[in-house]
Amino acid sequence: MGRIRIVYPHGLQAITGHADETAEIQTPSSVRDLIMYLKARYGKRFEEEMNLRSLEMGETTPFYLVLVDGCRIPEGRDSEALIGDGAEVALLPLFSGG
Amino acid sequence: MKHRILTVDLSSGKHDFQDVPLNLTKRYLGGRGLNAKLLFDGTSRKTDPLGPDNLLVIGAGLLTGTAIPSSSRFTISAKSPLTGGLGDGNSGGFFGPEMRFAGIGHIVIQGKAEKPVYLFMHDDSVEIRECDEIWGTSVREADGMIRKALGTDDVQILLIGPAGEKSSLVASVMNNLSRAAARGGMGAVMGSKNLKAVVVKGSRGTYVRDWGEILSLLKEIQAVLQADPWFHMFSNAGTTGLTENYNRLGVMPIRNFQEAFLEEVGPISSTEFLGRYARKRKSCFHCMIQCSHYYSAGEGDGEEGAEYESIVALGPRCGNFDLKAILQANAICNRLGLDTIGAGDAIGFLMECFQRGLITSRDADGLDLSWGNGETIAKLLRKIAFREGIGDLLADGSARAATQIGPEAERLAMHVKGQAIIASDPRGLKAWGLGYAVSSRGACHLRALPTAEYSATPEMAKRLWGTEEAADRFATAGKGRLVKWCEDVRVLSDALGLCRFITRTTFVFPEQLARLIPLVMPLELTPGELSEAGERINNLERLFNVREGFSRKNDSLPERFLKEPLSKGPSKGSVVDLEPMIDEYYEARSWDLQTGHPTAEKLIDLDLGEEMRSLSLYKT
Repeated sequence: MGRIRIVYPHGLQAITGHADETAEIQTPSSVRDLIMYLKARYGKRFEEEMNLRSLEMGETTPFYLVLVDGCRIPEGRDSEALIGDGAEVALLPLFSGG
Repeated sequence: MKHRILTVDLSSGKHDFQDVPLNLTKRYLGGRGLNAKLLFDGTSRKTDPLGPDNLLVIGAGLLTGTAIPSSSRFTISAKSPLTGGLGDGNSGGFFGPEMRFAGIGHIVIQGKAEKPVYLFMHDDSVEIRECDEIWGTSVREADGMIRKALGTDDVQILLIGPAGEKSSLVASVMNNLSRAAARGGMGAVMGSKNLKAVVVKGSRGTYVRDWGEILSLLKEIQAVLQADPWFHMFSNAGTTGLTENYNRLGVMPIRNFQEAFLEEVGPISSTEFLGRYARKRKSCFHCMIQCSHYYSAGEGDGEEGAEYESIVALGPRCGNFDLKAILQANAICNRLGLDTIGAGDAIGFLMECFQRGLITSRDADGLDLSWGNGETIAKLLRKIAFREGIGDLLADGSARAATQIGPEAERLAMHVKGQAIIASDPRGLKAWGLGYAVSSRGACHLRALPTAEYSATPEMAKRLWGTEEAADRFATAGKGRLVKWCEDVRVLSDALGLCRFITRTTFVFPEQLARLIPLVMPLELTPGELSEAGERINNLERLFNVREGFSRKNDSLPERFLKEPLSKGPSKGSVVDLEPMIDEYYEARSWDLQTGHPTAEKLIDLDLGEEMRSLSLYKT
């Protein structure tokens, strides 16, 4: 088992009840496994939120970006990307601008 | 629908209207594009940016003020006193659409008035009115005095504050009280002409081919917006929502870019802004997104903003994490007519000079220059606007101030070509760094806005820019092609007058944009013609800067980004490897790798042969 920190944006805080948390999970785990774990833990609203899709330069993309220690893990690569003990996973809504 | 260029000579008091020739419209569209052409032709290398022979060109986008949604944007261009090259500031609001209602696409202002004046245009009528009594007043006061003098509220007003009058190089041009064409020192150019304001009233309609088509388009766009959670988030929080996100990437500049990550961003977050200060949402002309807000932070009601850039420039970049003080500083900038980015950058720079013992409190009129002193920030903003004491040094931006303080200070000035860097640290966003370095107007995020670097899928990156690494924010490969691609589509937004936030949808592509034009103009352009126009405008802007002596050496970044790794946060350990990205960018643009000049072949290919031959270096 390992400890990872998960950071939630404002939209997900209303569902999880907190801005961040430390979870104990089997490490190394894949990002996809972690998202499945969180969907099971927080239920349908969390699952619906994570399934949201946005439009970015004409292409449909997941609304939430998944960052592991600052590096983005694209959907489709999430089964390969492993999370180690002590990692930080941040879920960010898609954003653009400055 | 009339589409005219109004030329006003403030020295002689004369003016004339000319229809925009169709070939110019097809080649440069409008807004930033046609502005660049008018400026290229109307100025020379000898033109003093603050002299009477500089032009101030105000250009509505080709679609500005039409039935196309989010078509509020206009661009103010001049030879920049800040960079010495091409300069422009872009704004939303209602001024650009009102120009269109008056049948005016572009206003070219030359010469210099003997006394302070404002320009009043009502359709075909043009008056130059003296305004000694308004000179010296704030943006808010001047706006009210002009409306009172005209006896109507039903006009749109573009104006400068005291900062522009004093030719501060970080002076903005304001409209709708709080919206700014802030960058490039356009306010200083306007002030140098003794021009306090430009007032427009239009009573003409705009062209619509078929209202049924427009209604279908509006329904199509509304469906896209309603289905996309991004728009709901953005409608709610505007750019203030970026604070948490850029911090989470570890790229939000703190204390003049010494750091880029806050453990606790809550006190300056959108949650705090919306919960405590925002009063009401605010829209630009004909926009469904409505991303702006009126807010109140103790200096009266009805202030508009604040944007992410302004919050960070006047906040974390100066070590200031008190949102109320930040919002008050933003209000001061709006009222005095200051670019929040340029002014905040200059103050953050000064505070780091103090931290490192390069200046003392005595040098700064006795002010406490400790990081985060909100009272000092407010006082410095006023000093910058009125060029008082230390403010006179800062009024020309951090780059020029550094040359007065000394070589060690020059290392701390965070600029490209003299213009302040914006609020995203390129050590964690490599394409953004390249975009700042090669931007034609000095450090700028909007020329390229390469958000695909962190949001595109790897498959999309491979397809469009040749490598999946283009979608990896820490990678270098693919970033030259990505930035070139982004610049060529983003320029279409500026030339058409559409907001960046509506063109993040499918309407970023020439194929979709070409659909819009015949709906609201008696004009058809193919996607290929639009694409070529975009590339042509970027090359003409480059040619403008080549004429002014710019070359590859000017496409640089501050040493800090190249040599000092970030010490903490999600971008820890990263620096920018700039030169390989510049090589790839030049190759994508067909520019000379040694000089950075567009090649003759490329210029001729883009039908810029005449412009090219006007430069002596292409004659050999």
